[in-house]
Amino acid sequence: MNLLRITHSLNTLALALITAVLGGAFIEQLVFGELPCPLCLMQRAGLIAVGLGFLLNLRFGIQPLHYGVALFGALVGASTSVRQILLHISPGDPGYSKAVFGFHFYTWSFITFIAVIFGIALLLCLSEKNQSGRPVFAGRITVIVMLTFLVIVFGNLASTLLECGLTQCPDDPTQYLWLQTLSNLIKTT
Amino acid sequence: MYIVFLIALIAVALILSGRSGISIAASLLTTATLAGLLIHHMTDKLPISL
Repeated sequence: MNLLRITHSLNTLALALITAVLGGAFIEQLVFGELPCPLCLMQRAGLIAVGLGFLLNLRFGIQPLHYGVALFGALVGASTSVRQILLHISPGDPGYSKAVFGFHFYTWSFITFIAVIFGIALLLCLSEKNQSGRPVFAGRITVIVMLTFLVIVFGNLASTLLECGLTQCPDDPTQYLWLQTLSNLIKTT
Repeated sequence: MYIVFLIALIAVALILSGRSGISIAASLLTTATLAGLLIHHMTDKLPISL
């Protein structure tokens, strides 16, 4: 297996992991009824921005520019996580939402973004000097991962519109704004 | 908030449809929009309600 194939596989794996994390967040939202706060949504968007870099690599071939796109997303996403960590850093603050293995989701999010930055650094080290920009492998798994990512991004757009509508999201959301509005309309008619 | 997901969705559609240059621009715009929303969240000074 040559280096190009390995880096292509690692890019597919990275996009699959990002899609899985976003899917897990959706399960948390839909099954346990925990609506994402504005900063939580921004961390999801940060993950999507990272995923765009890997998607570019898979679609157009592996290039440093695409890793740069992913790195920008990771840096902004990590900043968003740090912002939320600092909001809840005071002693006695219970934090937002529940903790998993001792850390809240935004802390896990920060760890994820740092891991992504390290991962991209590793992938850049693995990049061949005279690498062709053209995609060479478009296997079935890669296509499935790319389409699942598309579905997840669309799902996040639909969910955000249902939750917040076309305005700013409330700091501590308790209901889906558009669904509530629709319900009220049905009741009044 | 929806705007960042909308731009991201457009970026994904452009990437999958094979438009290299504009899809990179859309991807970077996604991150720039996210950064703008973060600054707005921290300062509440930007004239946006997205």
